[in-house]
Amino acid sequence: MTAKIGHMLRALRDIEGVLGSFLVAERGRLLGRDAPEAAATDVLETVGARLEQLCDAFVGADIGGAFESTTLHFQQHKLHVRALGNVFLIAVVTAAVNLPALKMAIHMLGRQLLFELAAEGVGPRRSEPPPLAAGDRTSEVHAKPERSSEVPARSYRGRPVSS
Amino acid sequence: MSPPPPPPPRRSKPASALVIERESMETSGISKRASVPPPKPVGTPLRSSDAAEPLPRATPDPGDFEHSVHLDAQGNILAGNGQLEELASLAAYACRIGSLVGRQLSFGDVAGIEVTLATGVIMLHRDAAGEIVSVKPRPQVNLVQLRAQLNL
Repeated sequence: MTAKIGHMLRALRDIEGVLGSFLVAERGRLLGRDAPEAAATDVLETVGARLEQLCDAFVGADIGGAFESTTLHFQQHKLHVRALGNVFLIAVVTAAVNLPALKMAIHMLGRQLLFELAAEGVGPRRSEPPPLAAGDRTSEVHAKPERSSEVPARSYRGRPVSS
Repeated sequence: MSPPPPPPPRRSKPASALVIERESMETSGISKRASVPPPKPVGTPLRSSDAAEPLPRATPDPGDFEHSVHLDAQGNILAGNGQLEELASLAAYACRIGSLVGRQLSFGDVAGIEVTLATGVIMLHRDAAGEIVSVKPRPQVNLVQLRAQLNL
């Protein structure tokens, strides 16, 4: 699966300024990479685990909420992190990258990755990958726990329906 | 016609951040012990009067933010409004983790973070001295303008 996901991640290089990307699951477990060989796997896993910590901090805070994405800015680089279900897609880019274009590329790639992950039994436990629409509020794992309602919600194909 | 203003230095605190925090401080009653330098009234790219084409509103009001906070390098709260202690903890932790990630990848310390949540956006800027300005803007705030002011 790692090689196939790595191949899929290569699509992000269509965006000028993308240096590489990788996909991590819980505690930084590497699911796939399209990064230079100089970036050791253990480094990517450590980075992935720390970014997961970072996202969890925002999810768990009173002023936080369900996590969608984050961009870390450095002097000459940026890291863009997007939650896809319960995994993270991390793109390493130059500071001059076209972020809107990158976000669209990740949006498109995310759909394919979710299909792949669902086929492999990784990621959101859904019968079909959720559409990553503009209003997508992403993950089950990286969302704040909702307060229980007295009336259980009915759903059809994962979407809440009203009677 | 005046020449275009020079771009702000990448790792220094943006003047707009100082404007934000000074206005927050004035309205919040938070300690004024911080020696916050006054914003430069002339020559900054943040004042609409200085720009070649006036922006709708170059300096946001403190009311534009649900929460905002300014921390020094030791994590002391210098100014803020809203749930500033919660945001202070979050911002300080996020900057620390961001810097650890940056060092791991040889990128250096983090200079800024923008997080998109279901409930809105949280932005933070960290200068070279380690001071942090973090804001959670209200939905009506122009994020493009705010990003420019925070060097994001």
